[in-house]
Amino acid sequence: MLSVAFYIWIRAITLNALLFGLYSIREAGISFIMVMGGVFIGSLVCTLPLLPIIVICLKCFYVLPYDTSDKLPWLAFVLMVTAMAFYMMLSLLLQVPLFNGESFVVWLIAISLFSVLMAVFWTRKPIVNFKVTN
Amino acid sequence: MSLSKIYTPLILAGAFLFNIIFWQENLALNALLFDAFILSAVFYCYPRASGDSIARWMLLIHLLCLLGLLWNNTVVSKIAYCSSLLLFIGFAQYVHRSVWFAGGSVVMNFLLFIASFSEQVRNKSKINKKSTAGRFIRFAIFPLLLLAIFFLIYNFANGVLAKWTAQLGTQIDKLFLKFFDRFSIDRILFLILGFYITGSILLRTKLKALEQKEAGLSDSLKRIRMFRGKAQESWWYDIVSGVMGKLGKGVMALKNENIVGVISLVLLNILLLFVNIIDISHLWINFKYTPDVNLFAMIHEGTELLILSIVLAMFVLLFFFRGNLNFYTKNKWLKIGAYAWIVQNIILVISVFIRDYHYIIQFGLAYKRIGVLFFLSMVLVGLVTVFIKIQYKKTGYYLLRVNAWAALVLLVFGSMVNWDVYITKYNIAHRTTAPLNLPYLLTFSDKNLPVLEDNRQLLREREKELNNTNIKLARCTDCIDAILDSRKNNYLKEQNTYTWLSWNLADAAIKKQLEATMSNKISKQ
Repeated sequence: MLSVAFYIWIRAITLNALLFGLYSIREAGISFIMVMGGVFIGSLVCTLPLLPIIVICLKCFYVLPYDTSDKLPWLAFVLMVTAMAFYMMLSLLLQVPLFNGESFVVWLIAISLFSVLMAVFWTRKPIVNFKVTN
Repeated sequence: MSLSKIYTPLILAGAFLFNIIFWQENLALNALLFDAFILSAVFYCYPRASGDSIARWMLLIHLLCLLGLLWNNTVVSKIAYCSSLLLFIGFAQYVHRSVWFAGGSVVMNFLLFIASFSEQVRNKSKINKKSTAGRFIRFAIFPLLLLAIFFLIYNFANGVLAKWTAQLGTQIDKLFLKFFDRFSIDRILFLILGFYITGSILLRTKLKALEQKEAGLSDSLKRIRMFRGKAQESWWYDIVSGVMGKLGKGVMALKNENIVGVISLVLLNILLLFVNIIDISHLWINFKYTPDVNLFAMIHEGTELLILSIVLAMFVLLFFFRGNLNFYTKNKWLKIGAYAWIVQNIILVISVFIRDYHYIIQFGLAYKRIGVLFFLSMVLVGLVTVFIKIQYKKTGYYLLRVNAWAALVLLVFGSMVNWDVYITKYNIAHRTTAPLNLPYLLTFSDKNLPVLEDNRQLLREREKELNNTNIKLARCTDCIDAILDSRKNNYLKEQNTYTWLSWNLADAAIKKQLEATMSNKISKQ
């Protein structure tokens, strides 16, 4: 199950870095690649503790008495809530207000949530196959 | 229209209704409208609910809470309204007898709403099995990705294209700003919240684990013969054998446990008897308050520890009467010891009541002191149910079930009283026996403003007394008038932002009185 969780996690942070890099083009120009790399490495380090949470969510996923196509949106939603909670915790730890009017923070959060959503649906096959093989 | 087809339109309608009636409003008359919608929808979608006696009782409790909300509109009444609505949903949608299980099922409704809703939508659109949208997305991903990469390259290479792109970006920004000017992001988020809440209330999950679990539980204990191997797997067994060693194992284990129980209860009863004799002689009969009695320490430390001891006592009894000792033929002395201990604990509860009573008499009413009264009532119910459990061989499930219902009844009672007003009136009326804690009264909600307004002169005098002892209400002296006026103005300003949807009896009466006093003041000037 850890491998499936890893797939979701790595895909989410890759997508997040890619999309946030694209968003920063207008401000950063060609250095958007640096932004991309920075966001990728930053999320890789910071969100590593979220892996066990993804494993727990996956365990619940396999227990729920719903069709896979109904459970996938549920999993995406739960992970999006987790991501949001992670941002809120980070803001508490750093003592920086989350919605302080800085548009890039709002965009970063929106992009992260979108990335998590996409990552879950992108990992659909490994999720389903894990259930079949186990 | 079949039932499965009606859920989605109902949830959407509920979400819009939620958005219209609750947005920037106080929870009051709008709760009645929301209730009318939700209750009709629940009775329509789950017809079993109308025939279920527990659901009907729960509905009655909920309607009482709604009455409390419209009457008093206190924080407690709001909590009672929300919890009773959710519990009613639990009993209407699932087969439950216990508040705990019904609450658990509603929590599952909230946790699994997305899956339940997705299932509803999928069932509805089963006719269009071959989704063209999915295929379109799969065909479009790769070309769109290529397009984006090459667009970026050309954008960097070509200045004119970059300029146009920047202009396009600005236009899109403006468009978004215009959209969010008209429909604020907060309002959209509130709509989503309404959608989630209404959906979680109306859609039950497919999870039957809690229903099945409760169906297997009974109020009466049954004697189950367990093989030793299986009995050794339980964690109770680990505790008993850990404490009793060899005595807790083997064929004599039950007899030995009975002896340990009798000895424990005899010793505990003797100890508690001493405590109760001290309390009866010092507190019940000969108590006279003198300033050298540290009532604060006596109440706060004493009450907390005594309540802890009573709760612990219940756990000790539950430990001994958890299983086969209930059916042990020679458990007469164990039972007598248990009953004696329950009676002694009831005496202890009365002692705590008396402590709290003395504290209220000497220092007036406060939320914590009322909280102690509520908690002691719960403890009393708990002790009585422990007695019933032992006497009639009831299960732990019975104990939890009955006590949860008792807590719910207390919550309903709590929602029927406007505590801020009650405490303020009581403390002002008893100011000669208990010193008036003016700073504390000013921390209450605006519900006590009319009472404070009626006693303005008295409060001024009290403030002067406090100022003489270096206690100030704010950074100024003689500022009670300024504080009250500012609170009144803020309250009226806040009330004027609400529409008829926030109407409730308490606020309407306060608003009327405050406006009348203000107009009197203006006419005098």
